[in-house]
Amino acid sequence: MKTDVAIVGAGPAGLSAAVFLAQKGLGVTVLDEYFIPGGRLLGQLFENPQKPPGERLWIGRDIAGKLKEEACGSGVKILTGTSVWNIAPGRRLYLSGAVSGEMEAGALLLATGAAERAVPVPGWTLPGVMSVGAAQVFTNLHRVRPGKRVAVVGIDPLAISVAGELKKAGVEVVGIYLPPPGVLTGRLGMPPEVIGSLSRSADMSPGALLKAAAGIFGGRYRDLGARLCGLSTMKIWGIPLHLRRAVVRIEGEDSVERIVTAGVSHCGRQQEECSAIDVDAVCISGGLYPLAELASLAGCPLVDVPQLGGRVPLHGPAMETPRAGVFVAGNITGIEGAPVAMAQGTLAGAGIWSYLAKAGKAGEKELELAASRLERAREEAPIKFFQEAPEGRKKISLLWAGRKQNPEGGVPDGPQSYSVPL
Amino acid sequence: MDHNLIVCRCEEVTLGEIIQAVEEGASTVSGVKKRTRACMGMCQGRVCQPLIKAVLAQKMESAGNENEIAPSTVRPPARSVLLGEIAGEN
Amino acid sequence: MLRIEGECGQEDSRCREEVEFVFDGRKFKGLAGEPIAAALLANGVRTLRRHEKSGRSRGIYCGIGHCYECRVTVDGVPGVRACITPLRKDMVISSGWERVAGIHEN
Ligand SMILES: Cc1cc2nc3c(=O)[nH]c(=O)nc-3n(C[C@H](O)[C@H](O)[C@H](O)COP(=O)(O)OP(=O)(O)OC[C@H]3O[C@@H](n4cnc5c(N)ncnc54)[C@H](O)[C@@H]3O)c2cc1C
Ligand code: FES
Ligand code: FES
Repeated sequence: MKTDVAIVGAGPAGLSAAVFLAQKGLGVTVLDEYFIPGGRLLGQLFENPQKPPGERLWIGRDIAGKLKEEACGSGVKILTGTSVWNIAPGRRLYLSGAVSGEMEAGALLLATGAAERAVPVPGWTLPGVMSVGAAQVFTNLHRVRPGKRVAVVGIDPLAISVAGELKKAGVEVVGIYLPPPGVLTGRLGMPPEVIGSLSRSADMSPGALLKAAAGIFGGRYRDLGARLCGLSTMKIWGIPLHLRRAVVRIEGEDSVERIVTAGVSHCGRQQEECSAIDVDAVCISGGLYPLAELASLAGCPLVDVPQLGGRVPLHGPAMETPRAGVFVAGNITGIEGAPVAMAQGTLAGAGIWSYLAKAGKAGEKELELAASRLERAREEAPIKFFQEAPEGRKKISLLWAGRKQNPEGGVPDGPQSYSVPL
Repeated sequence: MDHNLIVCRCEEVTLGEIIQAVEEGASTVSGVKKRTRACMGMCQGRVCQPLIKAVLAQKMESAGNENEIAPSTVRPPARSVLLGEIAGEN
Repeated sequence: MLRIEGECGQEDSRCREEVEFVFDGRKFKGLAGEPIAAALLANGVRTLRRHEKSGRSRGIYCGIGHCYECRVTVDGVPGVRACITPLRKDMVISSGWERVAGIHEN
């Protein structure tokens, strides 16, 4: 199989790039192992109170559907149910699943998105324990509840948002708890750290937290952090949010039957256990990290940037990597919301078009336009997953510039990883 | 934390086993992988690798920054493949 | 009941056909085109396989194809991820799983 452009990932980034490129007349093939195009957009369902009334509701699957229609209408070929399991030099992709075999591409875009960080809790391998992402997609997209009575472990905007979505779907959410404190959870298990990051994101995160906080504090959520520190429990949509209580064990014979919780001191030390609470499912949230394994296989150098969520492929202003013809876009370059991923996809599209069509001045113009749209999407983003992301992106562009100026001493090509002193 | 806690779900490797591997000298994810099989399961470490890095970071006292630990190298297949597919059937 | 009544969730919101399928020898009903894991969950089935060494039960974990916890055998094909594979009429699914290539050898 041959194609002008192969795009791995039919999420908002991959589909946006595909639309741009197909409209420029290039042959585009999008590959995705999920059976519906849309990526993580498919499970998203939330309200942004900062928008005018008619535009507040963000229904991811509808947006994904529109993107897919647009892509198919422009002649993009989307192969779902197809996994990419290796990439060899010369942009040769190895596929398995609905379509298997090899595919050679003139240019390659890696838009594989993000994965969830695991948070182990004793008993977490029992059926009925799942990640919040799984709960989100089963509830919002497939319309099957994870359970009748559910506990949420992990306190962050995604967890809180999913807890609300579960409740709306008729699930009894017994509470949102801290993960067990310890080496594996680190800051995620420390009340002051959790409260700090929660209040930083509360200024910008959509609906839920803002409204709940505003309800409790009479509309003033500016110093939410300071106020939350004095509390051990607050309620969000009637769901108890336990800022000082962790789920320390999940128990059951063949699937989840109950959780055991314990108090957590200010400095993150586990205190006395409480009596068990009956539940039939537990949803765990530990945050997101960029899924960059294919970039590594393709020989792109990866850089550790904690401000972007983990290891990301080194890339330039047109989303190009040091590997000729290999581009990246979306959450693989750092954790951000879907509108930003779309804008990044269009930018990568412009980059690929310039590269393949030798578009010269016209290409530069498209790149400029796409870059300014990306900037606007970032300013307007309803969720900021990592507050220090701008610093992280600066590191990347410095490394990129350094590499260009000094190919000898700069960043080596190849799948090495090196950390950036931050 | 409970040393019987399973960290690598695929290979059922416990926190205790990982800590032991680090105490016996493993200082990279690959080192832990060789000693314990953690990261060698079907998910290829997608679930457990960040956790192993966290343990390493703390044990190595590298200023608590889990991102400084060298990750294990990614090897194909990044997804499970049936032998027939590799051999070019279908 | 875990299935949420009312509008269908997926992209084309026309209601989908109810189909029969078999899991570990038992007959179930699900909606064509929903992931196998969703159909089983809606039937109250959470255990999708047992761990190859310990025999402990396992079910859905990540829901989006990353963790491989949900793998089942579908119409004789092993190692199929139930969370990303759509249900079809008369599928024969089992929690049995045979080795797939490559993974354990690196
Ligand atoms: C569980 C979860 C929940 C999230 N919830 C929200 C939320 O509520 N709000 C929000 O703003 N953001 C959320 N995000 C962030 C989300 O990543 C972005 O909103 C956005 O979807 C990123 O777009 P993308 O195109 O980069 O990647 P994605 O949307 O993640 O799409 C990537 C696609 O690549 C495919 N893929 C990956 N590897 C391969 C391979 N090897 N072969 C074939 N296909 C592959 C995947 O199947 C997927 O469809 C969430 C992320 C996750 C992981
Ligand atoms: S959880 Fe360790 S390899 Fe999958
Ligand atoms: S539940 Fe993780 S791959 Fe299916």
